[in-house]
Amino acid sequence: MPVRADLSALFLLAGAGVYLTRFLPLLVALRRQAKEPAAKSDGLLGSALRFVGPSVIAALLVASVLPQPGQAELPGLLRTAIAFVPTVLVAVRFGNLGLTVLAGVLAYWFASLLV
Amino acid sequence: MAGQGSNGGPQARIASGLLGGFGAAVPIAVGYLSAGVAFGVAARQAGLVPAEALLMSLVVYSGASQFALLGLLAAGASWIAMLIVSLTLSLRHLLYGPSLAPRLGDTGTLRTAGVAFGLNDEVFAVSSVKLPREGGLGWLLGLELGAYVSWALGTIVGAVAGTALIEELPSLAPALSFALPALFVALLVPLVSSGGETAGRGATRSTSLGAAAVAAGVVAAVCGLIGLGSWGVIAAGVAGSVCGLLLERFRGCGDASEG
Repeated sequence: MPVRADLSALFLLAGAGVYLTRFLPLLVALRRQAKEPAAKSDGLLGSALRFVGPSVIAALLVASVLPQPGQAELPGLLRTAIAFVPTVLVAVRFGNLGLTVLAGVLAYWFASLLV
Repeated sequence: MAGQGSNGGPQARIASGLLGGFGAAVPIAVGYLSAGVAFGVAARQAGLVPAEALLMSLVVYSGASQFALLGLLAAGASWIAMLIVSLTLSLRHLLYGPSLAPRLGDTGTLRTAGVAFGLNDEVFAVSSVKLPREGGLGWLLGLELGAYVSWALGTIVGAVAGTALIEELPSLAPALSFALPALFVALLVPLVSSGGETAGRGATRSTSLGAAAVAAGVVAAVCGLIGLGSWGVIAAGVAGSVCGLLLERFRGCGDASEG
């Protein structure tokens, strides 16, 4: 079945919007950095930017496990809580991305058999 | 293009980084395959044909925006409303470029334009921890390529055979969906416990990073619970950074006065 033209146009416009939110800040930051190399790591903004990574990762972690408002269900929360324990332990012990993800998926699968 | 590497020219370094980055995308791919399948199934349920679902994943390439667009399409919302929602959900990306820029070095506009396309949540999360200082551009492109291919592959599998797959293996999809939270745990734990390569000096930085992560997590949880969605990530990113910076400065002053 062919792709509808109106939907294609909608996807292109939405994609352009998403893309610009990724491209423009990166371009501006790189241009600014090229003009003022000291801005790379010095100054208040440079120092604050070093904390953006850990802060955003923490926020994404919370957002990825938090149920949508009004959609919380106890078994799902329990499975997540159970799966978290081995996931964190493997992350602490090995510090390996692939191994931790594998442990998390297996732990969640195991938890879904229990709860 | 900045600098020549010891093992070949810039093209060779980009090619080498590309392979490394592609390999580093495996943990993301595990999560994206399952999320892509879920999206493909949802797209079919919203009335899209598989080619349309795939086109949406290839062009929009943002899980949050894509799921929101499906919901709005099914509800018969106007284009303006759909575009505003999609743009609003993407505002969190504003933080990613400036945070990664110091480690990308001298990158031309064309390459910046290319690398920006795949700079989504998971790619940012992995690259903010793992992006190498040498050959970072190629590595980031490889990481993005791996993530993009897995998202597209998951979408098409979900759109064509997702419903049958989920009926056959009901516990598989939710288990795979835990791959992304596990990925964020895997990134956060070593970063906070070691003090982080990017944030530097020992215990003071480690405590500041931990405080930043906790503050960001609390803000994200509160924003999530009151339904602020994507704004929560921005608010958490700003709050965590301010908290970490204040603590670092405060402890730095304390250390200096003690010394």
